[in-house]
Amino acid sequence: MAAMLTIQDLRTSFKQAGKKLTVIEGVSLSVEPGETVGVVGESGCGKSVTSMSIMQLLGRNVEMTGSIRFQEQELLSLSDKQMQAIRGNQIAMIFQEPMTSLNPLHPIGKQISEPLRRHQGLSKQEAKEKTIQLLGQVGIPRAEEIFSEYPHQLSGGMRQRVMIAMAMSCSPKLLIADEPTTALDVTIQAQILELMKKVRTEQGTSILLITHDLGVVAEMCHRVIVMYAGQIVEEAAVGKLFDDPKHPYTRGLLQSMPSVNVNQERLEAIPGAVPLLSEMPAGCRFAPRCSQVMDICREKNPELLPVSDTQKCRCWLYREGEEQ
Amino acid sequence: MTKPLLEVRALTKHFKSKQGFFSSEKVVRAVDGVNLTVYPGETVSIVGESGCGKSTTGRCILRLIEPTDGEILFEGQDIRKLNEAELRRTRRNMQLVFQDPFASLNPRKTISQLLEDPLIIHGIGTPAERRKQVEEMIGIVGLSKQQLDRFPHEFSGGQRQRIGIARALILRPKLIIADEPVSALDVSIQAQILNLMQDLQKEFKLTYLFISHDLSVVRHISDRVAVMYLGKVVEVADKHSLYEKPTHPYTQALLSAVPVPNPHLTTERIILEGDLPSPANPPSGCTFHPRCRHCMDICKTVAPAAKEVTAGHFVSCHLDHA
Repeated sequence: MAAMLTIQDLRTSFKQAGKKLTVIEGVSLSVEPGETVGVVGESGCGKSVTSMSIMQLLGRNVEMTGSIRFQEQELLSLSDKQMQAIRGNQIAMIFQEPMTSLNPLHPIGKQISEPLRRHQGLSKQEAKEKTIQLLGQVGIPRAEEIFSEYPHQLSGGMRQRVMIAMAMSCSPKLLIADEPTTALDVTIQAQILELMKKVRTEQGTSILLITHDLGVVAEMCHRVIVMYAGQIVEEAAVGKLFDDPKHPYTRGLLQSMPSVNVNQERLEAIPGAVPLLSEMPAGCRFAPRCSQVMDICREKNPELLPVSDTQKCRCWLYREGEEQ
Repeated sequence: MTKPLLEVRALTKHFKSKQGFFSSEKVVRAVDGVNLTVYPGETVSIVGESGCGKSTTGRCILRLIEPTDGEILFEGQDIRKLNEAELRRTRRNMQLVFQDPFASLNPRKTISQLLEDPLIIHGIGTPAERRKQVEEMIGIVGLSKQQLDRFPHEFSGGQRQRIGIARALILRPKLIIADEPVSALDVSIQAQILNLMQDLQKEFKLTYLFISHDLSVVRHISDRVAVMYLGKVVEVADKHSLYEKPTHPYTQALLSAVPVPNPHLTTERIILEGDLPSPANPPSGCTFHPRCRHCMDICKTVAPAAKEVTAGHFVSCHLDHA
């Protein structure tokens, strides 16, 4: 079966004051039908820009090269109109902060029924019935009343449910969830993750899940992509990534997390901070923070290459003897 | 037995809110009878979800918000009875580290001004002595002297939080109240700041009151933990007892909700139904009863008192935990 989403060598740059800042540098990834792929990394590593690139929500002063294929269709060559027909219909997105992504001036019901009317051509009455049904499916009580209420009248968890109902309204084949539970409390996060699992099972939706929380990754994803400074540094099946992380950055991330299950005396912090776009190191971008840095790391950026059947890694440690 | 550094008794903060011109006044019970004891040198954490009153509790202890009722004893002295000058003197020994290092540092002051201000306010040293202290302090938190004349926007989030800690620490306080100090930081930076806080605690014999929603961070940093729900402490225990034997149904649900970074582990999760009720209109009896899976008749009418289930482990629940 063909992949749901295939990204090849994506480069996204912003033009700013005559300069070009490349934020995404050669990202390639794929999402298979029914699969949930996690993208993890710290702030500024390019996770969100990757998802916004897929949806083409980055505005005018952006330049994208490479290829983003959704099923058989190349998204980067579509016109704005053609993209609008896909966005919210076949590919839907859930954002981090439902308060800023819902329109405060329109009632909930109107916002959910908009894609139904636009993409599926339902009448006002049909769209209303479908919306109330959707609100019920995502566990919102009093769906009929909520239909005419405004976003500020709902709690954060309820607003995120509304976002999910809206995203799922046209039964998309691919769902991009950008930090869907980051703004929520843990007990509400647990409710939302359960809901996303239910939706995924019922509709067989593929999910690209963007998060900084490795706990959420372990719970939701089949495969994981680790990003650092605009590049993919490691890709692996979820079990492999947690059992046998290869890249020093992935290891550092896992070790710097405090655990809720185990007592630790001290955390292994990664020294330093993510480099600025304008001050990218010449060689491996992680080299200045890496505990196992070698001479070659400072000179040449390694390629993302397979280290086993289910794992790829961008690191000179696994390329010994080949560097010349 | 050592004397507690901080003792909070029946601390209460009610905010009055009026929603319309004709509607009657509503009382929001943000903090509703909190008892808490902190001994010198330990780290006590208050953990809970947003709106549970943990930050308000922290601010009431410093009287940044005036409490409605209750006693706050710092080294045996009731802070609520102090006048302004006395309060300022006492605050030298109790400092606050804020969550958002972007919002809590004045963008128009240099780092050296930001660090010197507390010394000036408390009339400490000559300008030369103060400069020396500022230079020393910036080194202690892991930044360099050369960075002193820069402005806050030139620093990353982690560095700014180091500055926030330096500013709290420069008066050499006994107690630091840290309100979500690492919540805005990425995990690798968070680990740096947590390690720094632990090192400083040893070096300066600090006592921390640590306020956080993150149960993993709290387990890492604390000696004892208080769990808050709707303005009340529902469970207090030393961290081993709390994390290994959570007793209150809310604590159990909270702990089970944390996603564990281990894909091979399938834990049985307690999913709480619904949202946190409004503190303006809290449920009768035990405030947790509408979401509790063990709810009994008595829970709906009688608020449970705290009882000691094992030494030092207190739970406010009607269930028989013996």
